[in-house]
Amino acid sequence: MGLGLSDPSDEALLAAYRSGESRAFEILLGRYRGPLFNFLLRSSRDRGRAEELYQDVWMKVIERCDDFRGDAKFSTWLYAIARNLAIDHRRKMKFRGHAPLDATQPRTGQSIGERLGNPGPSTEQLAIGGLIRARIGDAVEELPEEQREVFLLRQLQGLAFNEIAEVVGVPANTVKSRMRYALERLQGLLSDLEESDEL
Amino acid sequence: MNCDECKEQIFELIEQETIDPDGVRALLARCPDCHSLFDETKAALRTAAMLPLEEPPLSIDAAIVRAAAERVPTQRPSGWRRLQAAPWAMAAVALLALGIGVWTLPRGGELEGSDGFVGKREAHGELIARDELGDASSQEPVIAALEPAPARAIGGAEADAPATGLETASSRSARAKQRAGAPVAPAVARQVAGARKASPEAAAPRLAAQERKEDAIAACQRRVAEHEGAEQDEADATIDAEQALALGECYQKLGKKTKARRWLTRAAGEPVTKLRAEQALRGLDAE
Repeated sequence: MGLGLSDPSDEALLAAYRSGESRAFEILLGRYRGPLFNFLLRSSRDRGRAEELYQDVWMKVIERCDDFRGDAKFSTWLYAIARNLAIDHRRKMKFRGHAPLDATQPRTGQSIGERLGNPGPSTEQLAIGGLIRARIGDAVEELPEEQREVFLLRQLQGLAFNEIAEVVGVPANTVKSRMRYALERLQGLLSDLEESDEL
Repeated sequence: MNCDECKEQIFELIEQETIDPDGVRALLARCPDCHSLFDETKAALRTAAMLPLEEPPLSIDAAIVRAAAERVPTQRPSGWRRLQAAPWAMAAVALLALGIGVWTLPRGGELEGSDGFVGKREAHGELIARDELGDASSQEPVIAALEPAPARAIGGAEADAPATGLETASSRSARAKQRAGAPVAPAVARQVAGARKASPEAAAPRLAAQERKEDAIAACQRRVAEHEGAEQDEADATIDAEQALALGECYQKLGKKTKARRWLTRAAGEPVTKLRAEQALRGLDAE
């Protein structure tokens, strides 16, 4: 495997890592760290938990990289692991019934307790762009789970519909439908932004 | 195309994945409703693109990179990779070995067996070669991680669960390769496979089948005699799974059920021969 290639594929990088080139793993991590973390963040709706999941996903990749077969894309394999771990997390949270008080919030990175001691949002947070983005983030989190995961995989990672179908285990047409419903719902949730011409 | 079909494809048109872009565009040009939906969908996608993104903590990335660096590669060390740099030489060696094998292996010995028995010579190399060549018979589900998330105990062990149901020749050979230390280079596998087709070895399965019919009992008698003539403890300790299975099946053919059961049970304890040994044990029970 030539890491000297200008743009080695993910699969080639994983193969190189498996044969002992840890630099290849770093490149893979660099490619996916942002989208994967945001996928987990919006899936778990809890920054602290997202960080745990993020670490868990990569640990699974390290542990199980020998199981990866070259007839699939690395991205679909990675997100399938991430999705499974996120689903497990949600199952556990159902028993709790609510987020723990020490859980941090996706938008602020602060726990509820920390925010109680905070006199108010910073100037930066008050910026209109920031508020709009926060509204969008909230709206995405309000999407039904099935729609949200499809939306995030498409929006954050740019996976093709058939790749998303592999990750979530449904036909590609179902994925497209879910994406359409997600967009319709977002339109509804954010219609006031459009009406007030803030966008 | 009607409006309903058009509306279904508007999103795909924007995402450049529609199957009939011209049809959608034509209808958009003449239908105000459809065009309105098109504009709304585009606006929604623009809005969605503003989803705020956050960064994972660098400290976690650093910990992950450390963990990744500490993993011991299961593939062959670099010294072996240097050997792999001459695939033609490996293919030549493989050819030579196969050629010698044809003339030196006892007929009906290693290739001997009952239904489903894979001769020892065939077991790994052939499967690997077939796997690397994308043999149609090794079609299988894509990846273990795509299995639906199974229910599991809290503690997060789901991804460690064995990919049951995906156990195929290909996956088994992949694991065999891992155990051996490294995958066979595809080029080498192709050369070996190609060479096998052209060599007398290609006729080996046919010969073995014929010999099975003609001389199965005699071959088993030879095998058993060889085994029983050897120092038992030493011989028993060195017998691998395939040999144990073959021995068990021979004892079964010769009507020595106790010994057959002993060796088949041993073979059933090894993943590589488990299914075949269990099948043989069922046959033994039925006798």
